[in-house]
Amino acid sequence: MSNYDNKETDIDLLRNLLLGEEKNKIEVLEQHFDDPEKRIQDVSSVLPQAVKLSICQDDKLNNELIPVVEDAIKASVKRDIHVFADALYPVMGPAIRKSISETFKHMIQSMNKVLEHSFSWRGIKWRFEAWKMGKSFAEVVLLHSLIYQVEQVFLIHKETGLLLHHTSLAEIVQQDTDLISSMLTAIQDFVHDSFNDSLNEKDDKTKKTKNDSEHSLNQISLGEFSIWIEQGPDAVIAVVVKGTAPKKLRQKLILTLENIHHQHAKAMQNFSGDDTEFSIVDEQLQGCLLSQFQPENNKISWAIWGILFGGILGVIFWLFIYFQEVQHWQKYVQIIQSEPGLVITDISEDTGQYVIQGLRDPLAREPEKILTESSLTQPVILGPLTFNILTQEQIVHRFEPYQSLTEGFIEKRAVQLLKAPDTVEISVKNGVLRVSGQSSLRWKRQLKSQTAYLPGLNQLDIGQLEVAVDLPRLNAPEEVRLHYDDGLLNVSGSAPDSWIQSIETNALSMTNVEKVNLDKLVNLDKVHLKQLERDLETESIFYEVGKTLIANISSDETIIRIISKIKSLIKQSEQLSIPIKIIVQGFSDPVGPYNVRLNISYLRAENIRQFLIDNDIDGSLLDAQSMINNNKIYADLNEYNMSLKRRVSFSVDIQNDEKRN
Amino acid sequence: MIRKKVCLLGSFSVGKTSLVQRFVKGVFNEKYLTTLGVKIDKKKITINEIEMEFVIWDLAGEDDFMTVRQSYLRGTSAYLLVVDGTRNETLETALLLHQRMQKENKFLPFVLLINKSDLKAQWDLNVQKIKELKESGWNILETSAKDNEGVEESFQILAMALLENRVQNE
Repeated sequence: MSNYDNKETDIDLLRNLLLGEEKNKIEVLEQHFDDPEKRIQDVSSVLPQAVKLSICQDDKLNNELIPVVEDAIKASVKRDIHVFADALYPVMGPAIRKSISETFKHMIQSMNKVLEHSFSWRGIKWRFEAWKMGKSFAEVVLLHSLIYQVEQVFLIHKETGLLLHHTSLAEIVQQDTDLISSMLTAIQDFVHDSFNDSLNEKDDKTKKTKNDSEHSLNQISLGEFSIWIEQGPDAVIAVVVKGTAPKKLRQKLILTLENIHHQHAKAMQNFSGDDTEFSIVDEQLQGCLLSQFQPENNKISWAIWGILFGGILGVIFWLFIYFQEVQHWQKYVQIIQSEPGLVITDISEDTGQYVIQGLRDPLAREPEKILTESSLTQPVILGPLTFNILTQEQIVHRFEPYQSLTEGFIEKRAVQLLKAPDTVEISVKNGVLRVSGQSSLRWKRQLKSQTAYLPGLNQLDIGQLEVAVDLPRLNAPEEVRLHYDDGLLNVSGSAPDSWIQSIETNALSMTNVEKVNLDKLVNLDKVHLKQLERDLETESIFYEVGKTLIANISSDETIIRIISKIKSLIKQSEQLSIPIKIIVQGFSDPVGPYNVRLNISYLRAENIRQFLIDNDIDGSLLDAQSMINNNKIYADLNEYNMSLKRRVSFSVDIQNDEKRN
Repeated sequence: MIRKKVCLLGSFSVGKTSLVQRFVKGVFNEKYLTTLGVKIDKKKITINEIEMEFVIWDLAGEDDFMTVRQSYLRGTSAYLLVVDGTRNETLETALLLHQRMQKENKFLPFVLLINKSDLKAQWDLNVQKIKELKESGWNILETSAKDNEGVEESFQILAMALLENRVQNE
């Protein structure tokens, strides 16, 4: 025993001698590894680099960490949702914004695509195809622009044919994936059994797995769809592909299947129908939802350019039209402002309509007419286009009536109210209404009363207004002056009776002559009659004392002259139709008794009357009268004076003009 | 949710498809349409508050010219052997199919269904054999897809057996 102990000691000694230093080192290392604290320190120093290196090499670490991180997040959220919410808060906004902007970008791109296809020949063709096939245009566009798209991914448990997990594009209508999975398995089995049985029988069991994938069904085609199947030892991955997928898809399927096998081989082998634990492969399966489209023309389609260009042109055109319209409108307002009799009180614009409000003198031009007469509403011709910039309908006129007191309007109103004849001129200046020209008497008479109704007038000047009278029609002799005033015709000067007789009738028959004043008109024939009267009355026939007859009367010069004068007088009176009476007056000297004197004087007158009758003078025009009266006798009468008393004289009684008519 | 693959095995025209139709859709059609290959359906069933979904593989009937494809049986969790009560030879086929399953080392829950109980008067079965099978512990049920007799029950029994298996495995 002691020997043995000694041996032990010797060996220890030898060991100490040979490996003493290393042993100590090993002890130190052992202590180091037994101490968890130190190991933690060691791992912490290499962990970041190790992680980095692992990530660079492959996805294994990532894949291993996924469930851990997911569980950690789940646990964190479960424990306190706010911690996670607070952490995510700063990134949520930008993330949402980015998502929205991406969505818009995608939308614009798809719109671009649809537009591009819509306006092209190809687009029309596709549209026809869509109509023929009863599909939507978008579907057909997708069909043609799509190279391939993986729509669904099935992970099928190989042994049972049960579905381990399924994922698909969001827009794919979900079918009964369990049945599909099983049916797919059955089909594979059928194909495999039908065509590979003989092959498989020859292979040994170790090769079976290899042959499974080599000789099993790996693609089923159905119209535009194909199902790509990739076999693994425990699971099958099947994808539903629309279009023609490239070979790299199979590579992807193989890789994914390998990864899944690597991570979940045990779970798959022990699969008892509960697929919940396979939900974690979703991300890997999603990685198989590949797609490829026809290279997109990222350039904005010519149609978009066209629409944009058209839009800009449209806007420019609209602005041009709008600017022109505003210009026209302002011009029109200016026209209205400068138009006499129109006063603008307000202008406004309301939903494309221009409203102009104000006052309008009824005598002013109508604004609508002004607009029509102006060129503002004329159609504008721009190349092949003809359009109206400003239309009548766009302008609403709201004018209240008023009376303008500008001279022009007072004048117009006067002309309208007075109904002046064409021969009259009316003007207004400084509040004075000046009426000139020729008018009727009646119109002139009304003028004063009518002008009282005209506002804005202070005075009426009709100095230049004449009443039209056709005076030359009266054929007045040169010596006659005619003066017409306010209906009264003053006739002055001298004229023969024949003209005078007709003047009044003629004048009064003339328009605008109401009265004729002949007071200052001298009747030349009457003057002549008077002259003859005076001539006769100067004549006397003298008698000797006591005598009543004239000796040799027939040859008496005085008597002959008297007869001549009487005849002229009668003739003149007859011409004038003025009745006259010639009184033959008998006188005697105052000597002797009254009766004797009376008798003698009468006889003297009567004898002369008889003698005149005898000499063809109308006796009815003659009257013999004694001019003796019983007055006192003049004592101082001498013979001469006495001889003058013994006589016969003449007195002519001319009746008034009125009596003539 | 647990899903299980269940196969229906039996001779041709024993009424496998009718049983599935009755179980899954609750309908029965007098018209006979022979199944080519396999038809797959599924049905949810709740046992002891545990939901289970059967993915039912209705296999084409076995006859002189066609045998059930072994590959279809792969991965099945349980199976129903269906016999036509009026045709004794279908019982023989069922027993053969069962043996084949045993050979494949598939000691799985199963139920033997003697179908067409609505035509019981015309039954022609080896009663002795049935008795023996019962005694040896077989689950045997008389069913009628037409009268909806024993259909639900047979699946229930299968589900119970599967659950028991599951508990044992765990």
